[in-house]
Amino acid sequence: MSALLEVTGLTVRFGALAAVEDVTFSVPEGGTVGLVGESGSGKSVTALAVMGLLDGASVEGAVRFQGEALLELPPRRLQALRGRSLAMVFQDPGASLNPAQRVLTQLAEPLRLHLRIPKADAEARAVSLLEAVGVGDAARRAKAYPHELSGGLQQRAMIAMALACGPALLIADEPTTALDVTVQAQVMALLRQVQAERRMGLLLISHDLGLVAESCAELVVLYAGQVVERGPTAEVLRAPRHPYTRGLLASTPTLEGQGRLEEIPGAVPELSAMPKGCRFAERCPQAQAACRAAPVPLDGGVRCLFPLGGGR
Amino acid sequence: MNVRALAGLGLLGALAALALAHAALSGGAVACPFGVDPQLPFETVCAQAVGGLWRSAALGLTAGAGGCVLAVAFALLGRRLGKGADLAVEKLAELFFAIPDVLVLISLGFVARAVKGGESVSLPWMMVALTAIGWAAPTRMVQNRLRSLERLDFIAAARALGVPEGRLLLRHLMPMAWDFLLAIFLMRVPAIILTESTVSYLGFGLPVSEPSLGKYLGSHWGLLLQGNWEAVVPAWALLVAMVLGFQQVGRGLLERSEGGRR
Repeated sequence: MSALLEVTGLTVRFGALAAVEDVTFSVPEGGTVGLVGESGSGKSVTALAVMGLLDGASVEGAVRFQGEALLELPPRRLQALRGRSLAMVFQDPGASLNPAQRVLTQLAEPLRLHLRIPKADAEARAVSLLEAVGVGDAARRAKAYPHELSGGLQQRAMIAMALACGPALLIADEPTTALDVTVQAQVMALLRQVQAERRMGLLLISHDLGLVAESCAELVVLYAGQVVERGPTAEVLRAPRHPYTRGLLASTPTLEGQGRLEEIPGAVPELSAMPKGCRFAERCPQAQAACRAAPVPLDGGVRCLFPLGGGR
Repeated sequence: MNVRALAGLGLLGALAALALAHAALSGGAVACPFGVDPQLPFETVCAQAVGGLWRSAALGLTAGAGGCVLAVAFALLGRRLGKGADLAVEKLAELFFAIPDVLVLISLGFVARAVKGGESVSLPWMMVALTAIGWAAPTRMVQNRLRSLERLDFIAAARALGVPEGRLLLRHLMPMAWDFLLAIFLMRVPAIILTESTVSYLGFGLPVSEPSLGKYLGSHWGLLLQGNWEAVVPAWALLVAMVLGFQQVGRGLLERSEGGRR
């Protein structure tokens, strides 16, 4: 499969501080890639940088989408791509829908903007979109304001808006975090179904390794703004090579699991106090002096001098 | 609506009722309890005070609305044209804001009188001048409001859908700012009334024949020294009540607007 989105050496700085550094990954056409990491690891910043939605940040590296260099595009071209070919679903649907507009108005907006269809047709299509994402009594609910809908319905409406113009790539930033567990499963099933039907690329961003494991063929693990491990999901989960990935796995509850979950001691280092060497060294059970001495390059899909299972 | 806004609204309602009652009763059936104006014996103190109230309110409302319209226009223009223009609007507004309104108004009054002649300036001229000097503070407030609204998630979500910047400003940001605009408009009204009153009190404003509350108080304050408080106190009371009423409604709405966003 050819790459739909190629992110190469992406670095995002806020002033002198790098929130994301040298991040490289790709999303194939119709493929699903998971971007995982704990809060503050740079997942959302990476997504916003790809979408060109970071204001006041310096973004370096290359982001190619369907052959176009997104970071070099003029604002008007980027604006034309957003919503049409490249769409994003945000974490909190309640906050991401305009509280002052009816759902119908918001759903019809991308259709009118990008497909240039008349208002009545756009609204009719908006109702169909709501039906397609599993909203019952769609015509009535379309006329509601966001606060009149449940969290699950709000997220379905957000997904319908993102899918309105048939994008080639959907970036879903923690799409289920703000939802109940049962609704989480429904929303993920919906995303998988839509993706299969439309052969759409999906970049799924989550702190939940279990969620990503179910949905993604490829996995990119971020820690403190850097990719620490990447590879096929099954392989990474079966035999994680970076101690952080192993720690994340050990802290994920399973049905078979017994006893207490393991925790990763400590916290992600502050942006203003990033260590010179391995950023995980302070929390790593097997860190050695060499880990702290110099930056560790990503080599063979893992950023570790002493990867688990040997090698490198 | 909160208690403060309701109290302010009640005060303004009472003033409006008083003014309307005066208009209805001014045919001569009920005499003004404060007697005639010692300086203009063919006018009662009540007529002078209520007339001043209308003029001051008209000035405050017109110039307040004008200043807010200019503020929205400048703030939107700055945001639409990009960061440089937005910063230029910000700095220009800060520069204007640093110059005392009263001094600018007095200077403009001198210019107007030098050009057109006469001892005073007209009501329409005063409205235009107060509008022209009253845009700076609301502009900074609208700019700040737009900047804080722009950080909300649904704005990023709209951008992610490819909504153009102009449409984003008019369809997504501005509708969220109307309650705030109404609040700053209502808070501008008493500020303008006090500025005009100060200028007129000092003798640089409206003519004695068409006095605002400030002008009336400025031309009659000497009566207080003679113990004739009846000629002065009604105008003072109306001015204080009107300023307090607008301030309380404005602050109440602002609190509600800020509370709604938290």
